[in-house]
Amino acid sequence: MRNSVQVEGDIQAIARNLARSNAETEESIRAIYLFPNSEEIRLIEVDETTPPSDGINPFVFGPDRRHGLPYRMSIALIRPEENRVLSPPKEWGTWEDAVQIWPEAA
Amino acid sequence: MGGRGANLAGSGVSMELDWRSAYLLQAKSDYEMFTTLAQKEDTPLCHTLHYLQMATEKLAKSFLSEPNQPWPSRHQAYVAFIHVLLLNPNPFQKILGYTRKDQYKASLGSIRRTAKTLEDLVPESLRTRPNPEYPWSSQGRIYVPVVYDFPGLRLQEVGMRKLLKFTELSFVMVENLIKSTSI
Repeated sequence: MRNSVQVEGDIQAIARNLARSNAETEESIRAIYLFPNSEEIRLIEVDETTPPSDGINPFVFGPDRRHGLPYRMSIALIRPEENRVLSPPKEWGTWEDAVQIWPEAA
Repeated sequence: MGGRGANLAGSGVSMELDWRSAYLLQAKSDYEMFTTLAQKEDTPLCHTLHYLQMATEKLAKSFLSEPNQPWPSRHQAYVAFIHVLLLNPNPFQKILGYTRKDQYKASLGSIRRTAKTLEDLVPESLRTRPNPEYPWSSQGRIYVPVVYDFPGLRLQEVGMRKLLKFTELSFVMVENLIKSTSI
């Protein structure tokens, strides 16, 4: 049985792979932030060609085990000028809780 | 729309609706089904895409139709809808919340590419291309929707989520336009 630290490590690794894959296929992505959580993958992606928003409203997707994504996913898209201006969903915490996972630190 | 999914205005069968409102009502219900399926565990992608394709088609028809005349009985409408918006930045750029015309054009241009892939999912009679309903064959091989990956249309992909965000903004815009022209 895996403990919560292992699960969270697992989620983070899967989130990083998802982020990398998205950034590699979409050149308009500027940054991707992870909000660590032990039950679901929570991401905010900053993209230059996404429509504008008046708030951060993540899309929620169920686990997709066939494609190696065994956790629920909540993913939001915002524009660069909205980055750190709009507030994350309340239950996600604040921008201080965010970990930038793309571009990865050198 | 408030949150994910659409709130149906009513469910009575005797409502007096024009064609635009009728398409919109059905589009909202299709979109609700899409979000329900997308949030469930391990739903085969073909089923979620089927509802999304139908929702976007009817959303577009609610915008493109005349109040007293249904849209011609073909499935292609969503790409045409985006094309109309692209050709008419005034007033739609402002309505959709874009501050600059170059942002508007780049964004809708990017979304239009994904919309075309989604619109092309409509089954054709020869059964030679990907669709969410029926098996098809290509280069001597038979494919089945329930185990097909639908490249470019996976929900976790950025292009798809841009299209979803645009679709939700469009639902609000079209509903407001219909209300304002019905008065």
